[in-house]
Amino acid sequence: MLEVNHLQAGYDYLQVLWDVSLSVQPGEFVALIGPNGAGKTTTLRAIAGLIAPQAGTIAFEGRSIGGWPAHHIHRLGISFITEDLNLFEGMSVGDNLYLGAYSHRDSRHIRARLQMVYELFPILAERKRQLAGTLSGGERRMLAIGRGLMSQPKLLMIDEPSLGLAPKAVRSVFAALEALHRQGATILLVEQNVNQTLSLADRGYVMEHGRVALQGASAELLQHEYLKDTYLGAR
Amino acid sequence: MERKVTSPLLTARLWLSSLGLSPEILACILGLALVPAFVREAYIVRLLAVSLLFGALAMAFDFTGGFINAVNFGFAGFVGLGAYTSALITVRLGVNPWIGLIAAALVTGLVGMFTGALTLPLRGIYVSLMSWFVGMALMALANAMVDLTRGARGLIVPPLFESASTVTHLYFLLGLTVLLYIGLRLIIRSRVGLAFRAIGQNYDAARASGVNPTLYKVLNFTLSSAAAGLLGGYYGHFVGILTPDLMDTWHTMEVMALAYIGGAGSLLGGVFAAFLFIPLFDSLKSLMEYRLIIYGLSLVLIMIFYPAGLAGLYQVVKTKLEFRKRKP
Amino acid sequence: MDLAMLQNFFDLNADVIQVALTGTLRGGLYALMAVGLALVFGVMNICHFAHGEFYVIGAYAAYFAHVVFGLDPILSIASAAMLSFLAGAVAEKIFFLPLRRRSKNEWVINAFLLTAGLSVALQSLFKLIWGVRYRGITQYWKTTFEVLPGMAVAADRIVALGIALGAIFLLWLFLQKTRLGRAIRAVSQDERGAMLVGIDLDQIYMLTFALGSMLAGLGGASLLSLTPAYPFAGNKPLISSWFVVTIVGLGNVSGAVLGGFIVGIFESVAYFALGQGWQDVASLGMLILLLLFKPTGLFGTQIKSVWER
Ligand SMILES: Nc1ncnc2c1ncn2[C@@H]1O[C@H](COP(=O)(O)OP(=O)(O)O)[C@@H](O)[C@H]1O
Ligand SMILES: [Mg+2]
Repeated sequence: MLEVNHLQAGYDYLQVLWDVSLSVQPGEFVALIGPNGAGKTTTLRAIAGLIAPQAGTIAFEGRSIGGWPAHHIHRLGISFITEDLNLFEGMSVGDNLYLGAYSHRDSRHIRARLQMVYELFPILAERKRQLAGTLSGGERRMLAIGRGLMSQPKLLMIDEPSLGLAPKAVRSVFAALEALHRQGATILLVEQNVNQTLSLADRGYVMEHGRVALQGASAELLQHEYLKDTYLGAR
Repeated sequence: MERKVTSPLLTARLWLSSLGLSPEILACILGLALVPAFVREAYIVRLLAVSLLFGALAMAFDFTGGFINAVNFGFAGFVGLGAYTSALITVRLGVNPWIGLIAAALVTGLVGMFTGALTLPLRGIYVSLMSWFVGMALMALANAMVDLTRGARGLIVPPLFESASTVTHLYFLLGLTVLLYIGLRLIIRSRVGLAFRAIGQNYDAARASGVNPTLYKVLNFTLSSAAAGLLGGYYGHFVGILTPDLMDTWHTMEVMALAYIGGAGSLLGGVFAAFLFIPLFDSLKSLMEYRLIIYGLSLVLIMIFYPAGLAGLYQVVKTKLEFRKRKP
Repeated sequence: MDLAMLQNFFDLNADVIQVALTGTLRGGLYALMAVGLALVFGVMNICHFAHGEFYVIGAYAAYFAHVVFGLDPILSIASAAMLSFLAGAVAEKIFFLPLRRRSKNEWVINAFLLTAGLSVALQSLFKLIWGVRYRGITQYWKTTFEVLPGMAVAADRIVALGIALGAIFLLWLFLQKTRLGRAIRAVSQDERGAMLVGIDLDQIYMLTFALGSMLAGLGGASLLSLTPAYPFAGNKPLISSWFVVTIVGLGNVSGAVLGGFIVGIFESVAYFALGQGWQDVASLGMLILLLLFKPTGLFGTQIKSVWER
């Protein structure tokens, strides 16, 4: 479904990604892990169209989407939930969710999606009139994920959903991701928490210095000596 | 090893370039100074004098806009304040116009200082708004105090020089502009100028690294306004009649357009723009009608396509030429 | 003597009512213009200095529609609004879109300078095309309303106030209740977030600028009998609406409505108390003091982020 080949990208004169290749098949839960500054976020930004690739290709469902504007890519069915969420803080929870379905005009469909999001995160239904800026950290994460789901994306990309959350909130976010995956959603997840992530994901890619250093099925990766030494052993 | 051989010519050249007077600039000054020797028409001489005056104004404007990155949108108000100060002192108190000029610089500098202090809690675009309001308030005052300024009927201002020759004006303005350029440039090249740029580029970072934005902002506004006031005072005596209309915002726009077309942060860019545009408009009378359209559109186009302005273009051409010279 | 005092009292009261009424009627226009300014600043970060020129476009359009083509008043005003909407959309596409493509940093100052240049250019263009002649009408509707016993106000002024309030209300509904309106608000809050839910920023910017211009054009059209169309007619409303957005805080759309009436009434009081010349001095003095003590405006909005941009 998603094919990234030899991607290079960066910011102005700073190149961050040197050679990133990865793929995601329909229904898969893929994890992208690696140390801080490896370029995970940059990879997601390039796929989502927030930055333009300098070289390499990005294809989604067979179409080359490298360099397309972000709103276009979103309409193809890719939802990107950023690290800093980019919520509309001065608007209600309900408005945020409605905007998630901006590219859909069928109101029946939108109501069904809303129902689905409220079932996944009941707390959002309770708070639907509240301003997004007044939510707690965990609720904000859920709202961002909920907003990302409103458009019924084919691929959900999530950047460090556990960042800055209390353990309890992390657990509920991960439980929601697991539930989504079971319902058949395709997910590309970026995380630093290697153990927990790989126990959920089908496959994983390990990034270092703008390159994919290691890849494989989650179970294999968890057994990998190098990974054990550098990430798992340290914990 | 000490090098003993220093030719006096080289010393002079180094000294001049430390004042910002490169050979090209010196040639321009010399060229202007020689014009009256060859050109008899007072009309042309006057045109050059007017261009110099506007160029100098653009330079004073750029000192704020191009360096601390705060557009003084009430600039014309300050120019007008200087003009009225000098004119009123001369007309109402019978003081020598030269003292009037100095008073113009002092009073306007003071109001500039006051404006700089007013805008202290403000940043970015709010500084422009505040100075705009101050400029408009000055114009409103000039309009309201009819007894003093005669309002729209116009105030007759005595001339500076006994002889009415425009050549005198040209030389005086040339000297004034060169001195202003040297002075402003010395400040820009000093640590003060470094602080100006730091504030202009990133206010918070500048403050964090120990630059006191308060001091420098007020200093900048004071100096720029004093220059505007001095030139405004001169303008009054030069044209001989003043109306509050001089302080209107569209006059700010005219100077602003010259400064930005010339290139923000280049000081001299505005002077060159003035010499390009003002004679052009004047020589082609049919263009006069389109003057403001051309100014306005040029400002728009410069902003969109070439924010570096004429100065930027000059740099590019110069580098290219030097590169080519070195090649063979 | 008692009678004289009573007479005085009534005169004074009549004056107060007159001043309040003039201020309110004027305030409607300022609110309308200021809402446009606030919208354009809040969504696009443009300090719009050419807003007055769209007021003028509206005024000319209404004049030609009503006088030359003989359309009825409402149709004339509506077509003027439509034309200024289109003019705004075109201006956005021609000027601000390329500027956005080219300059990311220094956007606020560059955009402001661009509007300044645009204002000068448009004013002179109007002058070139239509000369400095005043093009006005005596009245759209040839009646007066007796708002209070003995106090008649031209129907035009009442209708203009109604149009202003109606347009602001419709805009509010549009922003709150519709898909595109929500998208405009979303863009004003988080551009990246907006892009990531599939909003086409260029489209929203164009719509916003067009809407803002339409409000200005509506003002110029509906007040044609009071201030005729001429090239520089936009200056006064521009300055006053800038007063408004400054006192309520840049980008504060709802505050701009209230602020419009505050400034309208203040100006009318100052005019009554001080006369033509000093009224401007008083308004500007008040504004400077206000900026000095409350730099973020009366209702202090969160504008810190846009200061530096
Ligand atoms: N907006 C940006 N502008 C410039 N450099 C950036 C930006 N975002 C990230 N970087 C740089 O890119 C590199 C990779 O960052 P990122 O992709 O966020 O890594 P990760 O998500 O793996 O921690 C870092 O060195 C970071 O400093
Ligand atoms: Mg990251």
